[in-house]
Amino acid sequence: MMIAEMQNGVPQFIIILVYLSLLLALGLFSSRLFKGTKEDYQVASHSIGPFLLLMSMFGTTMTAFALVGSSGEAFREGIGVYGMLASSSGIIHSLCFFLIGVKVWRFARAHNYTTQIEFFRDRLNNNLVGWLLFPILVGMIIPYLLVGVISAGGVVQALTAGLAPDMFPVKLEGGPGGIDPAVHGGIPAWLGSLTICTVVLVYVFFGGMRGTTWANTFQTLVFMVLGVVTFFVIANKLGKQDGFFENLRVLGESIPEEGKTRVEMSKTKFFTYLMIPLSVGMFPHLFQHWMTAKKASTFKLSVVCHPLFIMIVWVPCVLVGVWATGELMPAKPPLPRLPGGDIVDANKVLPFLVKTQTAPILGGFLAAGILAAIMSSLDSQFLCIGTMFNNDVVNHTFGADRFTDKQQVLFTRLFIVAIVAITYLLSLGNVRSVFALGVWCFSGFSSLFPLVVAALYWRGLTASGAIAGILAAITSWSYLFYQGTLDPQGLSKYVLRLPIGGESYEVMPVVAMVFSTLIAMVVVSLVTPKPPQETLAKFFPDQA
Amino acid sequence: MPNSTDSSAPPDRKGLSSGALLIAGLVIVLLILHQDNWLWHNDTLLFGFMPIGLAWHAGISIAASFTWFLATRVAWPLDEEEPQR
Repeated sequence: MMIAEMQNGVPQFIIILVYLSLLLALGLFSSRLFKGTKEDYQVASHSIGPFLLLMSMFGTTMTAFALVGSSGEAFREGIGVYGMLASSSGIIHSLCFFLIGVKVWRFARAHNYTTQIEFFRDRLNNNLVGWLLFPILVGMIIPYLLVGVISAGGVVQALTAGLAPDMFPVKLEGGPGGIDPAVHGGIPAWLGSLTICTVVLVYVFFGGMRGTTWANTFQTLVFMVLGVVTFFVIANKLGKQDGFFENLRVLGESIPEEGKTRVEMSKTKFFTYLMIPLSVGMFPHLFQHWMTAKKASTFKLSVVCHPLFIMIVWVPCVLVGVWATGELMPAKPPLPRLPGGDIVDANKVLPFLVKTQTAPILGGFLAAGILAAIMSSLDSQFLCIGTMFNNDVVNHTFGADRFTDKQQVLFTRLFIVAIVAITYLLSLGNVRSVFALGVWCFSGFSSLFPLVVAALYWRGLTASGAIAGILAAITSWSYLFYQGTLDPQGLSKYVLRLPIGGESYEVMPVVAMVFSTLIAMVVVSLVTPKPPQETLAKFFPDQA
Repeated sequence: MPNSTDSSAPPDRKGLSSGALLIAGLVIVLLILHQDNWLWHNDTLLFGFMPIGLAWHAGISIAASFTWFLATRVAWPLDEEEPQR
């Protein structure tokens, strides 16, 4: 039995190693094209065309949250998760690319910005805005990084289970033989996370934005193709019928009522989830990807294809998640449980199904696909925090000419290492829901959304108004997060309750955050001095 | 390197064109259709396997893609392909 288990884990382990080696090779190869300049390292010399931009932006926005989180949340909440985040993102993400991305690209290329903070400092003619935004943006990127790092460790552990039971035993009280078969003998999550972080760090180090874009494109192709293959294989294995559509039919019928409807989901909560994807308008790593575009028209392919790509990735994941709640899901081996309890660890539902329902070699490839989705977000986030540190702190403090390009690339790399180390240490804690972590992180970015829209479209925005908006955003986020930690149901279920006409309506906390920012920003802007005329002429030439 | 004079950023098209209004209208329709209260308790399986609520929202994704395709044709915000250098 033990030998069989070890043999079972070995193919997955080897394929993961080969895949990670390929990524390292790609990063090293792209470094040969590196021109040695800061601009090439940070924005690939603005040379990226439509296809690479589409794939890199999609790969960046689709993280562990999309694959591991969506299937896990569908397992818990049913098919409503697709409407809450996927179809809404198809509308809102492209809206952000269209209304914000193209416009900031225009200003950034004209005035030579690479980071959001450079844009806001110039637009508002104010340094304090940058000093406020820097810790907030970095502080919110860290939980986003955590989503990826934690998921990577969980995926590697679940998919290599059985590799070395003596070396990496996982005990479970009440489990068969006193072990947790879903993860027993797998590479421990801490080691898997560490390996993934190291690989991404290496190719970001050597390849910069060009390496990141290429790796993203490669990984996006990998996870999209393998995601669809996973869906076919799991459907056929769970359904146990002759044909694929017959399998789909029996699996569809096996989904419990609450899984295939939204009977247990609040309509107002669903509606207010629409504000979560607004976060894309303020993601610093996405801003940096926008800057890589060669031309304004480069954005067109991304704007059109992004909703379709989301559908291709999310529909199979959501179906697999709800199938896992049905009667066709084998009772043995049991789904992995959270440590110290009998609650299913929803984050591990997808990797567990891949592990138990596919052949070892295919399972190894599918593991690589899931890791691809995770790493294609981590790399952009790593690069952007380093870039922000160099441009918004070092250059802003000491002057852009104080250091050579080589030194600036070094600063970028060193800050990346520091943040990744902090994130890795935080990942060793016990985070129960990747989905909840992601939603709170996205809510924070969404709360700053009014700021970027006003900066681009409202002449009346003042520096004081922007500062008031930022302070309102972070204050409301912190207060609501604290309230969420006190809630008996926990952060993942925390909602505001709006009493109207004797009824209580559930509202996502993000609504309060966005409106706090909006009201503070508008009110303070209306009563404080307007920006200088030359600043307005620079950003609103038509209305000068 | 791009220059950084005040006039270096290419101008937007002035005002809201009929194309932009069309896209704004379609986005509002999409957001209304997104709140599909009428399918909330419906457990029908479309094509025998797809929960109808999920199929509806997959349709929203396709409609969103079509709307954004139209946007690139009738309401693209920039006249110039590249900023002045």
